[in-house]
Amino acid sequence: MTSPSRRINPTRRLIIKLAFLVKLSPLALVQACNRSSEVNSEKNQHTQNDLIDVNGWWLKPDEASIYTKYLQTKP
Amino acid sequence: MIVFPSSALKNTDYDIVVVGSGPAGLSFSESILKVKPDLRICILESGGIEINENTQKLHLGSFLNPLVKEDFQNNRARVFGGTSSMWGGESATLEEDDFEEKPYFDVSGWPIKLNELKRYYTDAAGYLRLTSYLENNQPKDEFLLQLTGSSIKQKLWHYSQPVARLGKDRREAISNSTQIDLLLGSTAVGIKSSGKKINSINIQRSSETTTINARFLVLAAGGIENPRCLLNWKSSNPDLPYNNDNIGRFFSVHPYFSLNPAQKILLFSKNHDSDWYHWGDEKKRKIHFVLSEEVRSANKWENLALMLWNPSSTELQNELPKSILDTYGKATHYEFNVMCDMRLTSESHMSLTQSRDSTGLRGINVQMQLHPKTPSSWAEGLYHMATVLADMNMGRVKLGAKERFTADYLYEHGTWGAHHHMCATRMSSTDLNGVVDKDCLVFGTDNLYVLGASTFSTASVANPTFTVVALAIRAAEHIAKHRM
Repeated sequence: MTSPSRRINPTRRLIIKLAFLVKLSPLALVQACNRSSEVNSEKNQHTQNDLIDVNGWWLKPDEASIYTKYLQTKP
Repeated sequence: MIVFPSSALKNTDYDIVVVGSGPAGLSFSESILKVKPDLRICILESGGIEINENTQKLHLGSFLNPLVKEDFQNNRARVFGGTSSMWGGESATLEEDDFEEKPYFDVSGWPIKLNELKRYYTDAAGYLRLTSYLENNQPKDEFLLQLTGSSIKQKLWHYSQPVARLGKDRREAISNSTQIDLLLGSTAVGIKSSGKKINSINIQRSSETTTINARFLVLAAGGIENPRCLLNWKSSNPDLPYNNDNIGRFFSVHPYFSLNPAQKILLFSKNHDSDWYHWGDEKKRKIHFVLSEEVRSANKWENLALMLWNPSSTELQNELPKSILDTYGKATHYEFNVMCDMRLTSESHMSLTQSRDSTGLRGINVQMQLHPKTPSSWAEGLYHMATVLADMNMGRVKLGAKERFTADYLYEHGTWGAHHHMCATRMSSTDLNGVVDKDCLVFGTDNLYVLGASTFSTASVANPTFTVVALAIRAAEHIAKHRM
């Protein structure tokens, strides 16, 4: 019978199994998961600064410059 | 039967008196009879069969805040069938997330969960003829914008077809009912109690006051009239067993705004079926864009619904250069507006006026206050939607300067739609921030219930009628099974 102190935490056991499956060390797997979580968190942060307001239209920077020129040539 | 103001009352003792014959009062009355067919119910309606100017004037009061610029008497109807007589017919269910407590708001969450309301939505859809809900009419993926994985969700709205006009739809059934007496031209002007129990209701009818006795009183007079009645009754009878500190507080609407009133245009650049994205007379359903729970929670935002109409593939020709439009193939131009949820604040409140209407009830002034964080939350959420659509090459949005979205700008320009009056007799788990409990029973009383959008714990972005009727049917079942 395994004594309580020798029991492996179920989460840790899962990480070891998954690490084996994806051919990473358990530490590398945990770090990769953390990075993924950060990416997901960033996805939920708004990034409206990426768009540029030209005449009310919210455009990507390259479009904004095309549209600005277009407005200048418009009669 | 329908009792006109000129007819004498034959009965003054009922099991239940319902104040108001709108969607909440009618659906409640007809639903409870399905469980307890022997009940005697009296419905009080201060209006008549048709809307008339004199009874509309009973809506005495005003919006004190410039955010709401509409007439106080508009968008409400004192008539048999209530506001269903002017209903647009569109509605949507609340989402699971609407019921959750949000730690980043001062006051939020419902004392019930969506799954406690779900089965009543089915009955409510039948009552309101929201057939697309009953048919589970879902769009196929290929007809929709591909936004999976983004922080924008596409939410389905349903349409009543043809629009339920309950005064007309239910007239024959109520006329022929042996259990329901609908008293037209009758206004509840006061109530009397003994301990926690309401015993009787004073009604004003053809310039005479009559007393009706009831085992239960159900107040279903509308989002503003419900708090107005409670405050008036308490004002004339301070011994009534309920407290009035929270009555009228947390009043909320989900205003429609145009940030850029001159040019509200939305462009989609991918193939999609515009039939799902705009409404028209023949439509039975429509998609609106809302913010995902995750992005709102991460940024502490209120929700928004972006609603499109009037699609056109030619309108854009002079708006953007061809070189941009050609990048994305088919482009469809829409007009749009935004319906915004608003976080609750106890600063929003109501107070009785000194002036009285022709029945003797005092009018009510509504002071709707935005939470200081609300304008920037709306602005950030809206611009986030624009960003996601651009990032995913699904569309471009013309909004104008973000700086316009300030409280000052909003107060100056006002809303062009704030006619869903909610939360002023809020449902809550305690009387600290609410007026009714999870079963719509007024705190402190034994037999006084309130129905309608005034009991909503939060406003959300869904048009309220569907949930109003679902809650009324739920309350009917509760009273029939647990209180009789």
